[in-house]
Amino acid sequence: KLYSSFLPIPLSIPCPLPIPSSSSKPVTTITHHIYARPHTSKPSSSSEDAEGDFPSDRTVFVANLPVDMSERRLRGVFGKWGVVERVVMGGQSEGDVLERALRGMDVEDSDDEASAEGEGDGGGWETVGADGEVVPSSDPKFLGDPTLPSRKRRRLNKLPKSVPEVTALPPLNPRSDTYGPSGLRTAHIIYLEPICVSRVMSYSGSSIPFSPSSESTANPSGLPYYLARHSALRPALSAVKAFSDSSMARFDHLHSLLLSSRAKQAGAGALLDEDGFTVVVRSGNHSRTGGIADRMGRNVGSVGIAGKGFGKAGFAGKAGKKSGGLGTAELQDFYKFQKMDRKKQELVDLRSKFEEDKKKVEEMKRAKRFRPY
Amino acid sequence: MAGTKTAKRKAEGSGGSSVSKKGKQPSSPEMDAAAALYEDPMIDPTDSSGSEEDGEEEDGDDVEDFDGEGLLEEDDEPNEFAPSAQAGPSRPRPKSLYAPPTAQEMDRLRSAAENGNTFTLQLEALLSSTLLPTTPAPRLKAILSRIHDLILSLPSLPALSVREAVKRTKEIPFPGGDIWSPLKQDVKWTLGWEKPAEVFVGGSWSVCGGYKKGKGVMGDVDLVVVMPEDMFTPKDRMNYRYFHKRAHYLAVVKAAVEKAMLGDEELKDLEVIWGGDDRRPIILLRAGKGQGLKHAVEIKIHASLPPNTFPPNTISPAKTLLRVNDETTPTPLYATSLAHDTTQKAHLLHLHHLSQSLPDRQVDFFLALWRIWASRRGISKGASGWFAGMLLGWVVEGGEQGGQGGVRERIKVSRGLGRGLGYWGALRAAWEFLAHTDFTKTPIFMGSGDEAVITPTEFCRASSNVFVDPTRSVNILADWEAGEVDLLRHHARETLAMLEDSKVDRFAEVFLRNVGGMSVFDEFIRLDMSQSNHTASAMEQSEQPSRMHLLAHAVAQTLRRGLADRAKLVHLQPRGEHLDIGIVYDSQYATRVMDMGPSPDQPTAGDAFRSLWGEKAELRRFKDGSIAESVVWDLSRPEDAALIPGWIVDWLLRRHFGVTSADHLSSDPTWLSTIQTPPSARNAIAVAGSEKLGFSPVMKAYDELYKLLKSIDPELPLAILNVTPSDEMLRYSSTFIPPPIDTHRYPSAPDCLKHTPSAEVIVQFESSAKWPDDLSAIQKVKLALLEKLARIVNLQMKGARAEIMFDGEKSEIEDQSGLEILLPAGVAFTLRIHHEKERVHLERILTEDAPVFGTSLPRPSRRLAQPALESYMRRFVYRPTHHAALAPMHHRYPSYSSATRLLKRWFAAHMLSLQVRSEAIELLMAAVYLDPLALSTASSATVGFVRAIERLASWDWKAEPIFVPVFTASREAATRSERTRLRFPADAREEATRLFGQMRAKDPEVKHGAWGIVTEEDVDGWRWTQEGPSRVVAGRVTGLARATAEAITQANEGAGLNVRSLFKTPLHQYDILLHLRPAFLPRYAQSVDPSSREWDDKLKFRNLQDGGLYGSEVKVDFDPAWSFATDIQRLYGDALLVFYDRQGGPTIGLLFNPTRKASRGFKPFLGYSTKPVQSDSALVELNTEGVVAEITRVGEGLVEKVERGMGI
Repeated sequence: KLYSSFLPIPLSIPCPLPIPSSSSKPVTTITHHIYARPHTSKPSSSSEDAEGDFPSDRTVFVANLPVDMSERRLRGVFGKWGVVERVVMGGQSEGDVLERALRGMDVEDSDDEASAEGEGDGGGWETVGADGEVVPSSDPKFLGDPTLPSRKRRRLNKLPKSVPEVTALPPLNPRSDTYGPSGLRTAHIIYLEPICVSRVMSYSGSSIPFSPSSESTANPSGLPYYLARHSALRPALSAVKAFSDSSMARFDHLHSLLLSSRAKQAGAGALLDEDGFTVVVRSGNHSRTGGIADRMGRNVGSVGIAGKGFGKAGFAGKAGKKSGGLGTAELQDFYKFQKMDRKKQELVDLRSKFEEDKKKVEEMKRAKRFRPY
Repeated sequence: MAGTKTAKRKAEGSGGSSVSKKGKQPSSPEMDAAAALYEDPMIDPTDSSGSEEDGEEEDGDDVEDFDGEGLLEEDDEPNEFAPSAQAGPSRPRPKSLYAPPTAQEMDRLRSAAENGNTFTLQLEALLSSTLLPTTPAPRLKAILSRIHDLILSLPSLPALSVREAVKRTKEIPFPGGDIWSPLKQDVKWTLGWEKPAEVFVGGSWSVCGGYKKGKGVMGDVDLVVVMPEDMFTPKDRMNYRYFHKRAHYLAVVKAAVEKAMLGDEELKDLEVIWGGDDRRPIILLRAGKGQGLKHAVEIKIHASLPPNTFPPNTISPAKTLLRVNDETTPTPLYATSLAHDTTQKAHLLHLHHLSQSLPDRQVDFFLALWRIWASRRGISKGASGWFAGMLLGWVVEGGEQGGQGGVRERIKVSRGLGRGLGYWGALRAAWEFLAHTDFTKTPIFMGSGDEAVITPTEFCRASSNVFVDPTRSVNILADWEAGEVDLLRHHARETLAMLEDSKVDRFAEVFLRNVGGMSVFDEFIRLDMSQSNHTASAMEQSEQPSRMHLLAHAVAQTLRRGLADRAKLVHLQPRGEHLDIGIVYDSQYATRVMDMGPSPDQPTAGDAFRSLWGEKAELRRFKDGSIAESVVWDLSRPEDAALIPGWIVDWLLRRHFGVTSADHLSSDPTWLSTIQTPPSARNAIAVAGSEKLGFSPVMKAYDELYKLLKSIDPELPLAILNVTPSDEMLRYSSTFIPPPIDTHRYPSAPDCLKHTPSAEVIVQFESSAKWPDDLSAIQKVKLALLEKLARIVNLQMKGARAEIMFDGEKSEIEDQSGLEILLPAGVAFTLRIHHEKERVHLERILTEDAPVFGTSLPRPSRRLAQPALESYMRRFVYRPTHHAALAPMHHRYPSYSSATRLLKRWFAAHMLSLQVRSEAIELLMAAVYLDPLALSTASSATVGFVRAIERLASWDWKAEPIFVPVFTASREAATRSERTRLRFPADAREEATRLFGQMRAKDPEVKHGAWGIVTEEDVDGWRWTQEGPSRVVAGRVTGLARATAEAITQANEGAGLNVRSLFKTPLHQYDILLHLRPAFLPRYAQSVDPSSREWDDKLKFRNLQDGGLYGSEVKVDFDPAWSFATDIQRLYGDALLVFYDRQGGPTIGLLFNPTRKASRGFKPFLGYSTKPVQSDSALVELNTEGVVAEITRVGEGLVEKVERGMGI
């Protein structure tokens, strides 16, 4: 039986502790259901993005993974129906913006698989995050910037070889697959053969025994996880230094690369900053100093903010002056009717306020507020 | 009799023509009316014909009485009584807002607007719910006139000797005890009974009408029987003889009433008992439903004397009216109580005169409001309408005031404020009078002294507090204990102080909220006096016949001497064999460790000091070379200073009264122990002796760190601009005082004690162009700076350990790293780097369009910027400002810190750590201190805590936010005087109210933001409460606070208080309970009820310890249980609520979101784990067991047992 075109696959998982259940006997094994469906790609995105590229004929989309599901375990489960080429778990980070910009990727376009699959099944998806707010899927893009290719003709630029590599930090999370939010974890299983997909979808057997906690070294859980995590979050100073230095070098390099590529596009020496000054960009031999000199030259922050603030203040100021100026104001009580009108208005205000307050007090009275004892 | 019946019939006939104009015609000559009224209002034909009561009301009532109690509240509101609230036909309803107004309406609108419409309307609503119609219920009238007739028709009894008279009339309550009992000695005088000179209805009822005293109970009715003058001889005033004759007289009346009850329909089933005080018994008749009355009522029969039976000068308080062994001590209490019997009629006339001279029912309103105000405050002396009448008399008419030029007896005329005040104005004036009049220094004499026989001097010599009635024969305050006068004045003062800020509606605080017991007094002690060995002389006993009152006076005097300037107010209230002692501290001196007495060259003062303190007093030499008697208290922890006043009370009571069983409610040591770890746990890991130092090791360590950071500029690429503390530990308000860790003993300590908290400190570097403009690059620069700092700290501070720590699960652009420094002193800090530009960048992403300039850097997505900005603002803006505003609170209010810690402990103990932020708790407590409402500012931690709980219990968070003027407080700290209260800036308040109203209007279901806590810097009020508590949790907090407040109220009433039980949370409402292994909770020793076996067993073989599971390196901020709890909440979002006590709680409670329990169609991103429903439909439902199992996998090793609650 399918549930909104999804096939539930029961996994039977042993519990570390007996769980009291509605029946009198505590349960020692529970069933977790994951839901599978053949992958349907969004028609609009003829995606050339390497990681977003799922062949629709041999990909299975799986939802409702357990929070502690790891890639290896998932492979194990789906290996049952054929050879798995690769497994892509949902919720990757979007990486460095600067790098994305240089490679010609849209920064705001973080199209994760969620939206693709959601549209596919026609139901749309809702984030049930803490803020309860549905994240807008399309954000303003760098429309004014001609150097950024539009989405349609997106071709990823290769980064030049000169870009220094970042010395990565040791992993901050002891689990190779971090815990993911319950009910929101998904994965794409790409099989070698399309036939495997139909094999999955025709599965109707009993629960598949599954034990997430048996691989303790790669993916520790429970108390060992918290212990390992505490020390993993405190890497050695030398590692931090290597990481920060290399990241800074890479940032500087990418930054100047970006500027020079833009300069080239806009014509020689015509890269203007917001004050209308021409920015001189050193081309070719990139060095740290170039980047810094450039950054010194532009003082973006304060001017931008001040400009905006001034605009508002100026407007408000003008409006205020107009009504407050000498002689421009209406004369009070000059004509008799003005005085009468004013008095009338006063009375009306007094009355309506009184009635309003009376209602409030009536409300309190009804709530039995006025007990004299 | 017949008259009343016709009146009733007439009323029925007239059918509903309710006439509000009563029998009081202002035009009629005053004395006429008075005479008519006082002759006997019950059977006076003019009176009853004038009172055409509304028959509807009475007829309907009898039915409704049986309908149910609930209806009783509303139905008897005579809506026509209030002159201003008239909805009668006389006032035409305005057709529209523009209809021309009548003069009457204008008056009404204007007067209402004067004190604020809502206030005036609420006053009227309250009055209409307390006052009964001025025309008495016919049944009550019938009963009264029956008693009246009965007493007047009693036959005279011939005079007999005392022994014979006792045989004739049973049960005569002869006052005065054995010393004076006429049965124990041979007396020559005789006891007879003559027809009373008159019987009239006294007290406020006959003038002002009835009022509701409680549910179905109305105020008392006083019937005064004036004994004939010729029954007494001048000598009767001496040695209790008058009181014996009086008791006999009333005993005869009582016997007659009891006898009449048997055969009389009107008086059937009346309850007749003795009442009154030990010297002047009165007869109490209790009538109620059995007599066909709607409201139960007590009819008091007093005995009275014609004014000049004894020449007034012979019963002056300066005279000796009791002769014991020929002593000549004056007997003011005896004399006053004799004089009281002569004043009933005069006081009635006084009240009547007032009510004639003030318009409408002003006097009635004044008395009613006074009664309500006083009874809300648990005031026993001075709550009566009689006392209120005296006050009103002074306010309106004035009199004479003593104390001119510092001499008490020198008096001058003091004029009243006249008649134009209105009842509310008069009430305020009365409070003003009480607040500003020291009755000991400036005695008050009402009326004019022209005909006064007893001179002011005599009154002043007899008593310390002097307030003489208009007849100049009685000092109203004569038998008051000084504390009772002080309490009344204290409340008057605080009420006025509260009303100063006219922008806030304080009506409920003045008239509706009960304040009493523990929330009024900084120290509340219940004393069992049955074991007291206090002995009083025969004279004292005769003068003060009640043993408990005698004791109360003696105890109060001793305590006042012992506490001296530590206490502003010592109030004693006898309750049965117990004494309730309430003390209001002077926070400046209350916790002083030493009392200095006189120097040895003052021998008499020295003797007095030694006799007061006994062996506690010792002669000491002080630093300046002087030698003096002194009393010193030893403290084992600095927090114990709060207990000193309690120790003093204990010591003095044991020494002088032999009382050892004092029940301290406020200074119960358990209060403090809930915020201290058990000593054995503490000693196992903390630096020895550090418990004596309180917070000072942390503060000292911070200073050390600060100095280091400020001195290392040359070695850094950028100079350090600011170092700002922003942690509760650094403002004395962390629940537990962080103990300095002894790093040498740390490895051998059991895992359940290895908790090392760290305090957050913000470091700001100078601004420089070297900072990149890219948010994620900024984080890298921060790392580089932290790394540099770490190396310097490790190098320069021997024994310190600095490590870079990441938050984890943060986006690239968010502040995510800090420097953890463990100082050699055993205190840890986390440094965070504040870079102001981050905010600019983040705000630009969110508010401005994308840049188009060639040099602009690409920007990260808004999705990431939003949370990054929130965490930036909280960490670098809100928390430091919050810290700066609240840090001074500890210095200004010494008890604030402990009170906050208690409240935090309470919230945590009820497993709300994940829902209520500690900053919100601090602000709640600050609200209690900065705006103490109807009370004075708390001066002890317990009272602060109790008031906070009461405020939480009564806070209607759906309707209003809480205003906390913390920033005004820290700004005005220097200039503000003690007495004036802080005000929340009016415009900010208005703005906040408006915003709050908008917010609620948009979201009437309160889906977001249950608690609004507004400060001047945060008019929205959601800064600390945005993420929690939610509506559900806020409701739970209210419920828990109510239960706690209820336990405290019961303790006030004598049930005893188990402090620990206030911190034990009920567990049965949760769906699932996860019991954690105590051995692996690093904070276990902080939990509410830790079992010391967990660590004691392991400490026995300390040398065998191998570092345990948690290792021998100090793990700063390591708390796996807390991480586990936060992880669950993060992973399961709003599908379930996690409840946990951060302070080492051994249990996690889970509550599934009921809206998620329904079955529904499947979607891949539902947000919770589902399973297919066992049915034909293709629906799925929440997989509860699967989720619970998943959670136990995440917490494997920590969770010991899973238990089901009641929920599922």
